[in-house]
Amino acid sequence: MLRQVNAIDFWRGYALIAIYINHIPYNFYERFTHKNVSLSDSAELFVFLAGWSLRHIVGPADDPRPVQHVLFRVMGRAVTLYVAQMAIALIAIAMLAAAALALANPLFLEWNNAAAVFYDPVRAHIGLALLSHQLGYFDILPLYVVLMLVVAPIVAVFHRVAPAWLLPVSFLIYITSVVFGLTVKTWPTKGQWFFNPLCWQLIFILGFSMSRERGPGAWARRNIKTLRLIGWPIVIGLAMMSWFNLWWDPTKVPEPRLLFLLGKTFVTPIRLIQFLALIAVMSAAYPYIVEWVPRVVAFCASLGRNSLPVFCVGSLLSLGGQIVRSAVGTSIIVDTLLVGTGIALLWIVAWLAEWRSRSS
Amino acid sequence: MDRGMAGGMAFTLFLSIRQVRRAAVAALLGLVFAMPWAHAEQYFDPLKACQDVTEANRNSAGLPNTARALRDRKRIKVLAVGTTPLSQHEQEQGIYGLVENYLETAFKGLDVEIVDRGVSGELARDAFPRIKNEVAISAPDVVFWQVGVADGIARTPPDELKDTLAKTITWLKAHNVDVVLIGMRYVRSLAKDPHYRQIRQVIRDTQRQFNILRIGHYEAVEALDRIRGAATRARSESDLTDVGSLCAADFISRALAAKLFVKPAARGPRPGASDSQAPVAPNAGSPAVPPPANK
Repeated sequence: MLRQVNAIDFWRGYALIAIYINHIPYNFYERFTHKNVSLSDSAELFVFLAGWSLRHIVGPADDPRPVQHVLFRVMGRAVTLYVAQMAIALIAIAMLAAAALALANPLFLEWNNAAAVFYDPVRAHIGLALLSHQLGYFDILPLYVVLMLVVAPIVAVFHRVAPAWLLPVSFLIYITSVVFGLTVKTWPTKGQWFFNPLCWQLIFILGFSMSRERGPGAWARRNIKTLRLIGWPIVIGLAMMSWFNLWWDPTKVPEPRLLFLLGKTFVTPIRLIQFLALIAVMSAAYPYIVEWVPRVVAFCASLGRNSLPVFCVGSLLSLGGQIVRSAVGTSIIVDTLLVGTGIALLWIVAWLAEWRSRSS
Repeated sequence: MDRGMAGGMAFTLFLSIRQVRRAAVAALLGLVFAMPWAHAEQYFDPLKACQDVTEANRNSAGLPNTARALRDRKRIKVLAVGTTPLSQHEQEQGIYGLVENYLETAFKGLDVEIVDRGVSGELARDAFPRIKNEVAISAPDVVFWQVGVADGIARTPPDELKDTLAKTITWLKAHNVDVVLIGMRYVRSLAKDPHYRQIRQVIRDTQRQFNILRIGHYEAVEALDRIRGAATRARSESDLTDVGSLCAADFISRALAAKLFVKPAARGPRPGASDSQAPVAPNAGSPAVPPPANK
């Protein structure tokens, strides 16, 4: 039976649409997503809601499911995510190769961090399988795999043994990573994971913690009005700074500098604070949105309920959109067709997934 | 040591660098050109094409901050960002690894540290905030920025790219960091593409406006393509990209050596050079650096 329309599925559906649009750089509609006035973007929302959804696997606070059951479920989910990542990476590589051939343009072979796959295939294929080599815009599922494979089991155990320690330990790992610049390296290319798992795990844990009826989640619900009062000036102030580019000089900040820089890879503190403020503020909006535009909410929720297939297809469609824009040129008509067709296809994917589950 | 002696030593050293580089590049280029279809390319000299490009913007400004770092510390730190030029024959160490090896082999005591933060396909607008953060964290003396290729494919509006380049270079100069732009890549199918040409023009204009060094990757490969002629047109374009990357490695090394160790030549722009510009006086901020002894 399908879940009723709810805020979590709605916001996740919104995040999926925003990710799809943002992953076609310079398209006309990119300017309407919230990243233009926000330090954080849909990636934080997506990971936060992934953590929130973990509550369905772990079970309620007063009646948690057995650890073995939780481990089995999260490991199964990690395998599903891994297979999905392999599939979309392979298709993306084929799309880039086809574009290079069809358009006689070898630069596509280097597009989206694919160069190593074509010019260093022996090592790059090992890297792809190990998730140490990731294509640009195809780098959030590897994070999700790690979160499910490593973080979720820890959450399951901590949740039963020492639930109060979960968030502090997660924060300690985060702050250590930011202070010392700890990250996960990529291979064979020299670089680092675009989404540093040591930092992004905190967003995931925050999502899980906020979903709980006890602990930090309960505290946040009790004090949500106060949190919103604090959140509003943060969101507005940082939006203004972002819009007018009023940032401090990163070379003038004290050490350890990452604490004061803006960065997505380490989801640096200022970005994290802005995201939490945004969550507090926007949590008040859902009842109004569902009242004013119920069809839009139902539409987004259907995408959110089927987030994995929708995300996978959306990633490939956005790559297709990049290639089409490059081949035929840019105009608002092309962008409208790409975005409109893409979102329609995402809905068809969600509908097919639900039709399949209904049929079975 | 007087300047004449320094110049003499620099000239001697330059020959040595050239020998090292020529040997390495010739060997690598040989793999690409000589072996597979030597019968069709008997008179082709890819090094000549690389050389032509090397001459292209010898009148650009020096690298004052890098020269200062070399003088004070005998060590230069390079931050490499943007689309990393990668070719089939460089995968072990990348193009910047070649540059590092060339320079450290040629100049005794010179320590070149390259912080490679290149991401293939990265757009200039995404590189700008990352450059600022990386400069804050790594404190480089010079930034190698491969820019334009990804923006060419992504159809970045030229004005927006121009604005991003200007902001980034202004910011870097204000923070005493030199910039070397590694420009567009030559692809036959895009040679007449209006947008790609516009992007290329933006980069060239920016180089002139800020009087900075630009690696003429496009010109290198375009020259190679012209020299090779129609007989081999059917071959994969990725071969051209490959050779272009090797030229770029050669040129980066040559340009750095020229700007750091040799007094800037007081002569006009080379006729016909695509990057030619008004001659500039020897950079006041770039004191004559006594060349280190050759190994």
